[in-house]
Amino acid sequence: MIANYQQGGYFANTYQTYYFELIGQKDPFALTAVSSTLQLLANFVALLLADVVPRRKGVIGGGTILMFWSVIIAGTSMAGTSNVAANTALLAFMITWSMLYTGTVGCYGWAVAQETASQATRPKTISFTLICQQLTALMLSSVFPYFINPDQLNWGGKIMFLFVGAELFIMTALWFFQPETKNRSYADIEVLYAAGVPPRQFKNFAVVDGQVVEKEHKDGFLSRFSRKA
Amino acid sequence: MDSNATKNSVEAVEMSSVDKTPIVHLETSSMDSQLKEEVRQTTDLTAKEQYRKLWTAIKADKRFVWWTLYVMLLVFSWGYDAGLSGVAIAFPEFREYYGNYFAEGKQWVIPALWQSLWNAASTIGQVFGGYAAGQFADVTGRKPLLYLAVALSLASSFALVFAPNLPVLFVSKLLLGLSVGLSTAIPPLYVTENAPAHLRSTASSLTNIIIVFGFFASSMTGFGASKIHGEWSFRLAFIMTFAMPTLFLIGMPFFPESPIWFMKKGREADARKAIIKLFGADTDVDERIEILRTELKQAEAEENGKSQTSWKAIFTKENRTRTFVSVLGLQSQNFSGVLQLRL
Repeated sequence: MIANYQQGGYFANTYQTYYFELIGQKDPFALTAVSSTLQLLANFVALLLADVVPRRKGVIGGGTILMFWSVIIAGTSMAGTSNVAANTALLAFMITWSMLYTGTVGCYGWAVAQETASQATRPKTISFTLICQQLTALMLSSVFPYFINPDQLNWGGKIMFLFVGAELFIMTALWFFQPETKNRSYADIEVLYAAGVPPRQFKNFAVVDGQVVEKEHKDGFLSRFSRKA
Repeated sequence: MDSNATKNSVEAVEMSSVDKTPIVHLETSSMDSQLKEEVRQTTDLTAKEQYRKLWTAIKADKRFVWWTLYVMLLVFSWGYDAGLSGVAIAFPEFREYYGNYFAEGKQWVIPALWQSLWNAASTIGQVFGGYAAGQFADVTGRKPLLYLAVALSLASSFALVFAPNLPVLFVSKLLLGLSVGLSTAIPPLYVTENAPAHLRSTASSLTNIIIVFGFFASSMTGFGASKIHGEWSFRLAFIMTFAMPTLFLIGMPFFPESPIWFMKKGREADARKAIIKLFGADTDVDERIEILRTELKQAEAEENGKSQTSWKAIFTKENRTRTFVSVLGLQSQNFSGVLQLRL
């Protein structure tokens, strides 16, 4: 499929169909339609909340919940294909997973990729981000069969831990470096960066007349900050 | 604001480095109430206030909202086209028509080699399309690249409908890939760089839902077309891939070039015209120009003479972490994928 970049959605649908068949559903198309409608709905809710949910909570918080969901799904999948109860549960987790995905990382991941750069460098940054995304998707889809094919590594569900590990790294890095860009003008973001405010603390600072102002007095702030600066 | 009152109530903290903006440290007790309110406005508004602000912004910049939806139609278009050509290839009629030279026995299959070549073609196309977007967006402006994306998309649709053989389909996939690469970069770029701060949070969250919506529409069309028997079931699905780019093309002559690109090029008069086209005649053009100038930090850039638009610029010390965060924003999607497993 051409849209290999949209892996979450694509694989979600493929494997949902597979499990629909496993639990003996005669009409996988109708169920897949229901599940894509739910995904669309979740994404729409995320869009409506884009002005209220902080970017950091949306991506880092959402990504963290997804990691837990992934581990649950991997665990449930080890029950075997003949266990109908386990397969039904698995299906329920897959559908909620894809709703959570489009409702958090799927939606706000784009916003982060688009908003974080400065105005001057934005075209190059978006371009570079997309190229990285494409190449990663290509790498994953070519390496994948090697990990899970029975005549090769045959990792099965264990490959999950590789993914959760990588995601954990990404979430940690974002926790340290992702700025809060929601409802901030680009000019304010530039001022905050220029002042050396750590990105994870952007929400505690305002910019008034080109000056950075901390929201309220906090003990230890001064010493902590002067060390950094 | 009364500057004397501000001076008395806030206490500037000396920073060790001279070129850094001084951080003002506030004593809550002595904080000027007006300043306090301004701080609250940017850091913690209630949800209700936030929505009221968003609604005001939507009403004030109605014209921009429509242009946003228009330019994002190209994103919808690629989701739709890409989904549809994927759907069409799955049709038995398609496989019978194109797979017959290679098939054995009763089963009609597209040779695996061609299937992987198609996938490779579309990925290669997307990588180069994405690269071209970054390489040329600051040289030619955003509009020529939008035209190019539409042209490539139409060319690939022609090849799909009239493709006499599998290699032509390969070329078609490559062209569509290039178009997709451009279409995923330029419209989101245009929307994010021009959206006023109060609209931006919502506007930049649009990308994914529009792609998903495109795929959704394509599977609906595919389902409808699959009810037709014979060669026209997949031909019809392919023909539908003309619809969106053509629709998009109609609006293009009226679509303004990005004001921020004009400003980067130092063409302020053109930027003013574009702002009026983009936001309407009643907008405060001077204010917007001033905002663009601050955002681009033009005075500063001229002083140190460093290029802000080269590939190197995104890896400099100031921009490195921001580039890193942008990349991770999309990578978090790749690696959250538990469902990529065939368990």
